[in-house]
Amino acid sequence: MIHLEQLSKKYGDKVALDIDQLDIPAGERFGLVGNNGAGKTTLFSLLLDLIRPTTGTVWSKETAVSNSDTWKDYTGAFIDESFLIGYKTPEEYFNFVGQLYGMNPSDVKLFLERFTEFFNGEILDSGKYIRNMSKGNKKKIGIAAALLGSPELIILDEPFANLDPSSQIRLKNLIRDLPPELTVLISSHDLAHVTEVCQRIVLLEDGKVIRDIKDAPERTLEELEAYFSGEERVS
Amino acid sequence: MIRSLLLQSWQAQVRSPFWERGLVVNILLGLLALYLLANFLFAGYFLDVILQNSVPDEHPIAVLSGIFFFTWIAGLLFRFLMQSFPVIDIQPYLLLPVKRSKLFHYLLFRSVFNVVNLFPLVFILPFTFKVVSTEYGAVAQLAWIVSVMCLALFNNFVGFYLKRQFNMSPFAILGAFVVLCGIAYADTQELLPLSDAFANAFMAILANPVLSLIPVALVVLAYQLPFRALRSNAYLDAVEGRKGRVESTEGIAALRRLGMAGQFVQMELLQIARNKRPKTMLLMAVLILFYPFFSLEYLENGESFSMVFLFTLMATTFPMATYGQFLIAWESSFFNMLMARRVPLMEYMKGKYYLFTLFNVAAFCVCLLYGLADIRMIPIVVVSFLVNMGITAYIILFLSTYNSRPVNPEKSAFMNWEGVGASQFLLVLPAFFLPVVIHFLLQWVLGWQWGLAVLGMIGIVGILLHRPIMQAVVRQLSRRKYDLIDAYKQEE
Repeated sequence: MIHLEQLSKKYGDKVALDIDQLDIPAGERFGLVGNNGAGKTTLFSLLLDLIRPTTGTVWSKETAVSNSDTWKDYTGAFIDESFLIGYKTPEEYFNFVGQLYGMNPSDVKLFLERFTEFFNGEILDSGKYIRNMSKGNKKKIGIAAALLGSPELIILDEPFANLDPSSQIRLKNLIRDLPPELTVLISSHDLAHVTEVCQRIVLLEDGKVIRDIKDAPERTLEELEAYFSGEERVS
Repeated sequence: MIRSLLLQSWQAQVRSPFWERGLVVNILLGLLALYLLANFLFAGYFLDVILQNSVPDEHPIAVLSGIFFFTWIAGLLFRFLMQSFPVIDIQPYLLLPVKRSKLFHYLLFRSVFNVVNLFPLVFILPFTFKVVSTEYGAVAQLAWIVSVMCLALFNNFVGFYLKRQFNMSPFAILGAFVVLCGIAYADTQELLPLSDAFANAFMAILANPVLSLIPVALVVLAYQLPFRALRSNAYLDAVEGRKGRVESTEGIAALRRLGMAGQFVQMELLQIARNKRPKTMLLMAVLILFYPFFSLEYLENGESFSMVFLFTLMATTFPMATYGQFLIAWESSFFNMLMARRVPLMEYMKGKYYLFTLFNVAAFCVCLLYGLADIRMIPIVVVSFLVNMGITAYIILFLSTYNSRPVNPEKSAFMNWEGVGASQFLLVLPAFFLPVVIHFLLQWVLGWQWGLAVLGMIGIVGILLHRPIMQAVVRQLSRRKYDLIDAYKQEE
């Protein structure tokens, strides 16, 4: 699905990201962890062609993302609030995004039904503009909108942050229930959540991949906790 | 304590992102400010001559003092409309061990240094040195200046108080406006000689400078109003205010026929309706539609059509130019989303062009009414429309990709320099002056009809070339995409 080669991003002398090679097969649940400044958002922004790489290319389904817009047809994303239109109500926003994928308002309404529990009655028919909503509710809107238009790839930056505990659990269930062929990329600071929903965890430090843990769900959390508590930092 | 708070507010000013624009723009803005300052100093210096000429049989000081009455009430209305009370600025300090009353003193004290309050000084100082001090001496001059400044400060504090106590409903504003106009009318008809009373009071202060303590006392009293109001309720919920329930709209059915581009027009219309800054900017544009009215006399003399054309072009281009200067920047807060989701750039830019079409058709219809005053206005208005649709709209679309300063459309439009950069200066030249210069040259050589005919033709050619020009605009946007994304990230 996604293939990166010699991908790097430098701001002046500072290396924000430097990845030799990384492949994300279709249907993978891919978790990205790392401390602040490790390069998680940089990687996601490169995948979405929001910033230009210093070297290398991002390939999505064998097409370079910077050369063509076809990846936009099957990619849904929520990075931060810059993906939300503050002066719209949630319904207007969902309809707007739905339109981009050829969905009419009744399609959108039907699609949103499965989020009823996740929204907890605070999103739809709230009588508020998105800009006046809480951070957690904005996040819920962004996550739901990322799933609009039956994407094959979704990219979520820190989806668990700012959510209340019930919503975090509901989000985990939501991600688990996604169709198995859907590729899901998630970054998170919450090690427990990310290891629960992802089969593969990539650990970034100073822009480099220093761990790539696959198919070992029972040991992953321990390994990550050991790393982040500083017990076995290699560098 | 207040000193350290003032220091922090000074730092906030100095370190504001406002200054982090290009050097050239800062120099241009600085020059503009200097130019305006010089103008006012100059006008202030010759104020006595101006007054002497307009009201020959009265003493300039008396005339000016009478005028103060009008500036005073107009100033109060102006402040009620525009001045915002920055209570939110003390939010970070409310939790610190600082006495609340000290914070309020600080807020009110800081407001004294507002440009609006200091502005009269620029105007008055040259005048007082030239006229007042030579006739009445330095002490009287000082007393007079103090009294004039007291008028401004009185407005400052009372304005805050009124703003805090009363909701700004449009009816209240209209009512206040009507009342003030009524007072002014009564005064000119000498039913209620308030300006004379003002003049007498100021003359009395000159004769007896000690009397200037009265306005000072009034300011001290006025200060108590907002201070007490603040002390009795400065809690954050009171600051932020409640918002009513809003309903979602389905949008305008006719726009759906334009496909995706129609959706983007829809988005722009919501953007205008729900955000303060674009809304006020476009309301001002409506006022400017009256502009050509003042140029009709040029037509009567039958001399320069270029002048009339300039006025008409300004009026009809203004809605597009004023909104268009931030065309993409309005969307800076969600530009990432537009670039990362399936937004067809062609439809996106077409939406903007259709929005301009809406503006232009509206301005065109209004300006056609000038044809009732003079039939020759009709070709001028038609050509202005063609020039707007066929040239200026594309120029604005193209240049909007260079405005790489994020804009928050929720903020007030007045004295708001956010997002203003070099591209605005660039915009003015081709949008307003290029067509007029072309017309002027052609009028000079061939006659006014030819000037209009050639410009109209260029406009039609531009409209016919819609597709290739829009493709060029879209290529430009995809080239500038990364720079815009990067620039819009750097919000305050």
